[in-house]
Amino acid sequence: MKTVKMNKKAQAGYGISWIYKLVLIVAITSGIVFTVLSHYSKNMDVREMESAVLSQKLARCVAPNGIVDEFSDSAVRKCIPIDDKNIYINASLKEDILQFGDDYFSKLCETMEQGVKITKYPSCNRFNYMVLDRGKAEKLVVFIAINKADTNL
Amino acid sequence: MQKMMNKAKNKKAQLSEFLSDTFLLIFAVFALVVFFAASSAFFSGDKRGIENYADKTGLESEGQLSLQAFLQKPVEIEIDGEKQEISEADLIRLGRIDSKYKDVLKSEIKIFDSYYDYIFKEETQGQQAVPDWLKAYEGFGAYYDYEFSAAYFHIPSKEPISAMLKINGVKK
Repeated sequence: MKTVKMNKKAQAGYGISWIYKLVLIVAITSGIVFTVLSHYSKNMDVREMESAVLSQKLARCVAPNGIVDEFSDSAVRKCIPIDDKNIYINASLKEDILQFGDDYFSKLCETMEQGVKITKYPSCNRFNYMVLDRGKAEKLVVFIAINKADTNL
Repeated sequence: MQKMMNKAKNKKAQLSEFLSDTFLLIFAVFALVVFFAASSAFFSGDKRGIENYADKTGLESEGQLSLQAFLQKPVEIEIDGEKQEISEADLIRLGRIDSKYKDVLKSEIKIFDSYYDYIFKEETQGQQAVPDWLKAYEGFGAYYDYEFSAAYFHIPSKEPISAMLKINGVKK
C-alpha cells in the first residue's frame, strides 16, 4: 500500500494555517461575546419608573376611584411593600403628612436641587393628584426618593 | 522540471489560502465593527426611552386619578331656578343638552390650573369611534387613551361622550 507522506515544511505550514484559523475563530467569537455583554451588562436606571408605579399604587390605595378612603400609615403599608432602607416616601394631603423610609434621601434630593453634584445620587420624583375628600377637591402630593444607586447607576 | 513546477503550484496554493484567510479576517473585523456600531446605535436610546416611559407612566397615573376625581366632584348649579348639586360628569352631560352650562364647566375645569399644565376636552363620539376597551369601563373610570386619560359615558338620547385630560407637565 502506498502512503502519502507530507513533507515537514508542508506539515509546518498546515499547522501554522490552523493556528491562524483558530485565532480568527477566537477573535470573532470574543467580538460577538463582547458586543452582546456590553449591552446586556449595562446598568439601566429604572428608579424613575419605580417611583411612578409606587406613587400610582399609593394614590390608588389612599383614594380608590379618586375619593379619599383612608389616609393613614397602616393603610398605605397594607397596599405597598416599602423598602425602608432604600426608599423615602412623603405623602401629603391638606395638613396631614405620611412619611416612610429613610429621610436622609430627601435631604440628598434637596442638596441636589441646590446644584450639588453627587456621584451615587438618589432618584427624586414628585407627583400631584387631584382627589376628593369629603366632596372637596384636594391636592395629594407624593414625593418619592429612591436610592438603590448600586443597582441602577 | 516537474518537481519545480509542483513546488511553484504548492506555493501558489498556500498563498491563495493565506490570502483568502486574510480576506476573511478583514471581513470578519469589518462585520464585527458594523455589528457593534449598529447595536450601540440601536440600544443608545434605551436610557432616554426608560425616562420617557417613566414620565408617561407618572403623568398617566396622575391624569387617570385626577380626571376620575374631577368627574365625581360635586358642583352646585341652578336648574329651573332651583339650586342643585350634581357631579361634574353630569354637568358635562347637561352642557351637551343646554349650552348655558358650558360656561360653568369651563370655570370648573380651571381647577386643574394649580395642578398641571394640561389640555381638557370632551368629545361626542359615535358608537363606532369608541374603542371596545373603553366601552367596558363606561362610567367614571378614567382610562388612558393614546395621550389622554379618558372617561366615557352616555348622555341620554344622544351620542356617548368622552371626557379627556392630557397632562403635559406637573406644577410643583
